[in-house]
Amino acid sequence: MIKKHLEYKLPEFDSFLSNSNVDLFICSTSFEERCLTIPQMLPDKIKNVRVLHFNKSYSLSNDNLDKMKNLIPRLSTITIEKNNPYLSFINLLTQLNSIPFENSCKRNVLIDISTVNREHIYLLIHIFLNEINGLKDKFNLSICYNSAKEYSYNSLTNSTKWLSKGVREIRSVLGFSGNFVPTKKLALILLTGFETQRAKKVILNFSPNKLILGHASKEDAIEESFQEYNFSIFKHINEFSNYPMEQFSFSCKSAQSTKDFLNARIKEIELNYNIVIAGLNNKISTLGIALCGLENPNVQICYPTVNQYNVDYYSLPSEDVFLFQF
Amino acid sequence: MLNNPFAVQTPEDISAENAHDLFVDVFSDFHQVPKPGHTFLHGPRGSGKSMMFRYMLPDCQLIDLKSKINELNYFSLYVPIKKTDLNIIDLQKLENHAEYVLNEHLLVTYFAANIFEDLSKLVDLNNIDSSNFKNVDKFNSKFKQLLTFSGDKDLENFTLGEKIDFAILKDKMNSLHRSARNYINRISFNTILPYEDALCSYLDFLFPLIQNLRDLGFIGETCPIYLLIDDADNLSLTQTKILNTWVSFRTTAHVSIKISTQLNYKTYRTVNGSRIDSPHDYSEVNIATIYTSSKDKFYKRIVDIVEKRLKLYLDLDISAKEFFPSNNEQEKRINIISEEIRSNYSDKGKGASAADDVKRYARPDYIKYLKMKKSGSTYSYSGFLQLVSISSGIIRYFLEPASKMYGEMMSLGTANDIKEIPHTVQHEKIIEYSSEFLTTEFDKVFKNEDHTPETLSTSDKLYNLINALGEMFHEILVSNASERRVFSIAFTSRPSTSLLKVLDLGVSYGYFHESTIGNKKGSGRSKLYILSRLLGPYFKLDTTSFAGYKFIKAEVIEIATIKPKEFGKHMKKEISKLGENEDDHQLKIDL
Repeated sequence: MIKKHLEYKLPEFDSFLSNSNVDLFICSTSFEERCLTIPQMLPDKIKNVRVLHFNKSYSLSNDNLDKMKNLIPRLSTITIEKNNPYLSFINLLTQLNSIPFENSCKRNVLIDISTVNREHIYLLIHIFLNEINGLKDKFNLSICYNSAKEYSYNSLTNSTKWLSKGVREIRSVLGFSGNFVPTKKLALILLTGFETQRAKKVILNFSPNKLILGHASKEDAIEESFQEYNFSIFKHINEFSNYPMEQFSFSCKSAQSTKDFLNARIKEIELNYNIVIAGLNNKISTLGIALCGLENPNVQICYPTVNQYNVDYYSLPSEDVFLFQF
Repeated sequence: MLNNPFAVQTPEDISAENAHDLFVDVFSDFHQVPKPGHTFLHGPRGSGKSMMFRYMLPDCQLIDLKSKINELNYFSLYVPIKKTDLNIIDLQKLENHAEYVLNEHLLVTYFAANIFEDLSKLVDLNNIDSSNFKNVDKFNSKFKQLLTFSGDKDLENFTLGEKIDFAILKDKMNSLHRSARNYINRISFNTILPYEDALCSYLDFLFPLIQNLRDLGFIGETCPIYLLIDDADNLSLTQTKILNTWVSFRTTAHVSIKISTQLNYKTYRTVNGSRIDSPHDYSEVNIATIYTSSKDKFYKRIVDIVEKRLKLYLDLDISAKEFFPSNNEQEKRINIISEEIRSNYSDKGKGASAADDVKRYARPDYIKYLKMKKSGSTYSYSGFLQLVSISSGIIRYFLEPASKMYGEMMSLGTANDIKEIPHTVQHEKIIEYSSEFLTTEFDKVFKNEDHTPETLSTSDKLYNLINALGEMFHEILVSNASERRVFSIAFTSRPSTSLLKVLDLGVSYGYFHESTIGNKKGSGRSKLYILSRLLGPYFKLDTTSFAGYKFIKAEVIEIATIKPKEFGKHMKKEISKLGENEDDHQLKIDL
């Protein structure tokens, strides 16, 4: 499904954008400064720009929306909802369908997922890549991602790092609810990130019959230090868990590789298990999960919402951009 | 058998023999549960609900009663509800489109599939010869009739043999369930499509189906049938209303519905908006309330559980007290303080008797002495009695730390000869567990303190409240107050909606238990919020007491949720003034 996977430094990506034929650019506001990294490089020739912005957002996100509007006066906002994904979906589909293009040829859409929350990444992938929504044949999809240089960047040690606290609700993702056989046992595939509490809550809530617990692989980590921190969290969760468990590693750079691993594992166990996948690592691995969900309609993707994010010090942007062309 | 006698196992995954061996009969405490009648069984995670249901299943009952299957006192059918089995976000699409009808169909087919799965396993694992079942033709024909009436269009290829095969019936129900799910998935991102598959409801399908099972003869003619629905909080609001509607039907002469919840049941309204009420429509049991208000009952249950496991796993015929010994040095010192209190009672006695004063002051005085001495010695939370008190009426809160203690002993290489858990290991592990209990929900909360009251989430406020109360209870414990072993608060004024939300969250997480107490005016009862004793070691409290409480203004507690430091400052000042003459149960804090 992914035709090309490219990696750029920011200046190279700037050139790429200048030479590209993007008809529609979609990004998201956030409390993270990273939400501005790619939009601020956007050339004027990209006429259609849409930004996802949460209804009742953090003041930092509102400030970043204002900055974006100053940078890109032609930008339009699509309002999305924190706790009503169905309304988010309706808004997204309605607004994307109403963009006036000059002719009916296939358009190029580029989505910057750097700070789109995971649930909306799943929704966007469903909208653009699932045939039932009617947009798959209208757009050629590309996705870009500016990785983080550092997380929880005011913390001096790993033990004081935090990204979120509290779990408000764990829900299935709209369009990825799966189709369970009522009498099968449950397998939970959990891709751990930096959020211990969120991972523990997912495990406790599902009480799976089989837990397949993953950590970022050394070779495909964004930063070595990220992998080490993630692995320490993985080990902690592993010790906490009382469930029959197997472990795996996944790529944080290649969505295709993450998807391929998940597909293969699903094939091995789907006869005996209903399967839920929860992704708590970076947006590239989230993309891999979304692609896997599209190919495995019986599998459910879940999303744990949090009570609070580390809005002030969540991340710092890196110099790297990953591009995936579909 | 597992090596660790205290390892917590999921009841669903335990064999009938194992479940029967491990189960301690708690039905004298919860007598409504095994009796006919709809029942709600509430309790936090780990309080033993699923184990009770597991024990009520026919395979365990067969072992327990040593009877034939058609001689059981009741016949239970188990339906576990997992997190997103039924409560899926895509159902939002149905809000204006046959929402109740399709949700009920999903529930009925899910329940029926699980019932047939249970029966299939029961027949296989208990060598029940299904060729002895009676009226198979009649049952098959009625089953097909139910399917026809439901509108199932795939009946031509559905054949049932001369023998009952529950696995085939299960597959049929799985298939009907998945067709509806498939329909819901197809309409997720598109316009509404016509629904042309089967529709099964409780009264037209599930209830008659369960009754028809009697025709087969393996359920006694007068044997009550129970539908055990585990973790019903995991249903959506609409599905909960549908289940309540089933409860509102007076079917208990034939089928009783037993519903377990983790204290987060969404509503008691039915689909037409009316309420189901206790005791009119159902009876209600709250495990936490029963066990926190009756210390002795819970103590006896844990003694039975521990001694049963010690015998089963380690072949040890010793008491739970011997296996979890106290810190002798500490107990000796507390005894010396007790003797002093006894001998001074005639001059300085405060309570009704010397024994009463010993109970009230000996342990708190020892904790106070350690604090004043500042020698680095800490109060030890070892000893079976303390561990039971700390577990706060929740069986898992005893077993999990006990399992960690035993695990520690195994890691020390003494696995073959563990006759007791030393008090140092008990203390270390229970302190860890108490601390983890708080940080499970509040991991790294307030590492940054840049919050304003407006940006605090409900869980932040709850974290503040727990800390404020924990510190307040500790201050009272080491004060000169006449009642120092305080673990609960009640309000002298009406709590705001926001404060109630915080308290409700605390109750649902298990940080507080609710009870009631006569109010200050003597005109009725007030809600009592009891801090979980599991937090006792974390806040250095005397966990052996269940008695103390304080009446306090709701506005003051509200301040504790948003400005904990301000609350703490005033609270310490007021508590330092407490002496022998204060009103035992009123704490006035002016802010």
